[in-house]
Amino acid sequence: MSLKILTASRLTDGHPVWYCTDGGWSKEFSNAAVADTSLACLLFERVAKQAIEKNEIVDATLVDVETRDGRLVALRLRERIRANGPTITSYAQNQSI
Amino acid sequence: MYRYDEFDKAFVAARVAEFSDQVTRRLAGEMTEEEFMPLRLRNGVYLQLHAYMLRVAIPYGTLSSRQLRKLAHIARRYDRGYGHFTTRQNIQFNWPRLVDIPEILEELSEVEMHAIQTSGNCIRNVTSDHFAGAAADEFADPRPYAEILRQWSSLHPEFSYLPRKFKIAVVGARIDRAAIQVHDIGLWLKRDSSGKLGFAFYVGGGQGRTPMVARLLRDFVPEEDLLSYTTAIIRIYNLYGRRDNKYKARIKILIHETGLEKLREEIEAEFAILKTGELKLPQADIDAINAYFHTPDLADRPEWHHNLDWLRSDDPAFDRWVNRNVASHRHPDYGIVTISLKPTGGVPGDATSVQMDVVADLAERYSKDELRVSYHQNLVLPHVALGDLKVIYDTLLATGLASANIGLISDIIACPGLDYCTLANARSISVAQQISARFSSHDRQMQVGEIQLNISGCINACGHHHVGHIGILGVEKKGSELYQLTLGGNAGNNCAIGEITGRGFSSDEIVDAVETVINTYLSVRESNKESFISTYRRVGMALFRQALYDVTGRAV
Amino acid sequence: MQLNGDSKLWGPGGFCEDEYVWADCLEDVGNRCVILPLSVWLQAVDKLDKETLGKTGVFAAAGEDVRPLLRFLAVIPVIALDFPVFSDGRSYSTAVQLKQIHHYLGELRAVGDVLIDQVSNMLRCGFDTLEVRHSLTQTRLAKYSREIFPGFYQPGASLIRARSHRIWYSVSARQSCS
Repeated sequence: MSLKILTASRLTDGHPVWYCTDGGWSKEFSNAAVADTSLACLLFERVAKQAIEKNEIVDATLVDVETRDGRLVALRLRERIRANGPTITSYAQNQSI
Repeated sequence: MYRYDEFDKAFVAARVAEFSDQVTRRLAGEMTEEEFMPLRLRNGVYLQLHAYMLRVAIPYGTLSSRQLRKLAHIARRYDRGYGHFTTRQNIQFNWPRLVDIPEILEELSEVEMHAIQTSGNCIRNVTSDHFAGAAADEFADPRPYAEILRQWSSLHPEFSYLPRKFKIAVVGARIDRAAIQVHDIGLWLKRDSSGKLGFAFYVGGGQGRTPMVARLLRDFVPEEDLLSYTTAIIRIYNLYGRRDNKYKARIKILIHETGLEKLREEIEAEFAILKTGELKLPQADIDAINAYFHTPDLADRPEWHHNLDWLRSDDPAFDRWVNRNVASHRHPDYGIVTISLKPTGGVPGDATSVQMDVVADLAERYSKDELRVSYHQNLVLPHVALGDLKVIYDTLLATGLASANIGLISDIIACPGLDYCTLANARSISVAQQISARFSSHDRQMQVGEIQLNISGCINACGHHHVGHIGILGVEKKGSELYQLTLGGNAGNNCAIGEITGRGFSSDEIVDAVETVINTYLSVRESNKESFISTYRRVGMALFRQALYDVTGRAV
Repeated sequence: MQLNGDSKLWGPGGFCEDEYVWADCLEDVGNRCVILPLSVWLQAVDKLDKETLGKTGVFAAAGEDVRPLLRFLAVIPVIALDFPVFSDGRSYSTAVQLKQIHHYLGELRAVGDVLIDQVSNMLRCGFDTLEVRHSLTQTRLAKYSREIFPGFYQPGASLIRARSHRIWYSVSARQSCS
């Protein structure tokens, strides 16, 4: 089974969040708790369900990850973009205007 | 342009109050996300990769300076200092918080704007010709009818839960600048032999997974039957459109599966009942709406005869800009200015708050306080005296808005793609930036000539790649981005869906592939007056395939 | 969705007693007020006497063809139209056809996934009553006083055309009295 982390979108502002090792939801991808067993995944699903019922998050999913050079990396480009932000600089960021 | 009266204002205020209440209930847990989602979509609120996205309606793409300034303010205050203009003449903000959206909507309502029905399975923003009311080739202004349809479709009780979204576009000129034939209903204003005004009704156009060019449903519907006939079509669609598969739920599929003849019978039968009813438009009502759209008084401004030529010869960059970005106006002393939001290496369709404010000032001062959002994701100043072109150009130059590339290869239509959108499979903006950089030389762009290059980051085709002369569709294959290339699409008159060249290209290969296509075109065109699309129609796909792929079908 | 086994019938006058029960077949009709599925009702229409017919309503599924009912509209006491899920909007069109085009004078009832946020649409399309299972919707309807919108841009049941230069402007009869 590949390693998995739990991600969702925060209800109030839609920001991607990851369920992290201290039991809360963090905006930092690197803080994500990693599940390496199917039991851990089941626990994740329960956590997600509770957080949805408490109206903290929406759209919870499990994401495949691996560790490279000691860092957590999402396998899918989409999840890497969610973690790091848009890959392009917006015009606003680009311009001194 | 249309001005709200007390009723319109009260209506939007009620809508804002209604949605505020819904947001409050959602945040308090009185509504689940399943119950809330269709409601928030009907107020233009999407959930994207990084944040919510708010899509604000710009009815038929028309804005006043006051409204644009408000959009700039919203970008500044609630977002990250920029907004994105779309192929449906709307604006999108990428970073609003759900908790702030009721306040944003209230601010919008102060300037007669809203986000009603910019998403969801309902009737969406009615789009139109961005040169309406100004173009030299126009025979009737389509915007009054777009306004009539807008009002009639707002919170329509019967059509709020359609099988899928429903898009309508209206034009009234010789050239279709609104791509009506890839809309669910496309309307073309015309006169019958007795001079009476009416519409050709096209139905069932659309892109996405199954692109289709609209079919002519009826050649002439008199203007007083506009709402009755439209109601008949949408009622039949609401009753019979598929609801089992969201990729087969548009009216184009209903027509394809039922047959146009059969569907026409049903629609005409329904129309026969409605024709004499309440929806018939009295001439006085049509005239009343028309009155809002009379072209403003345009004073003669003949001074351009004396100075424009030498200004152009004195400043080659200005000359190029006039050549590409100024279109013919009905009035001989005026022109229609298109402000390019496609700077080299920029994000197609994006504008910063600062740029929006500058454009608002220009519109107020030099364009009768009016501007437009074009189908191509640019901004338009519709009524500019030719004598004012230089001062406008100088202002645009100082604001990074003076790219002289309208209709050229770097005037790319692109969706936000995987950098922003949850639906996307691949990035589109980075591809647009690279192509734009590869073709940054103005001379080279002019050599290539008129061409429309469109990029979509997924099959939903918000970048309208199917109707690009060159279309690029980003897909995901084995975890990597892959780009399919299509050629020969066309929006507007002679609408056509592009044909796939063959295997897709990686992100490293796609820009080279585009350049190969261009070079192939240049090598076979009859003259430099034969445009890309004309050459393609003459020679077909074979030569391009040969250039792009080796004998095994792999990318060269 | 929070399902409350207890379904209540609501009309603009408030919650009311529901005289009707659901039945599947002709044999269940008896002496009570029942609502039969459309296909069953069509079979029954020749077999029932006038008095019983007057107590036998029709249920139509979303998108079901109601044209066979048109010649009988005068004798049908109630027609129930289904919303299998709130996002399925077919019954809005059926309601408009029955009420506004064919002037059905009996009780037009919305059943199924009836939620507070669609109540306004339902009333404007011509529904007279709503059968509500969703408990939060029941709570909100208990306090439902008037429409928050000042009027609408379309014609609609129980709305009248207000004098205006716009294309369409309809308001409820109460609001128009000024």
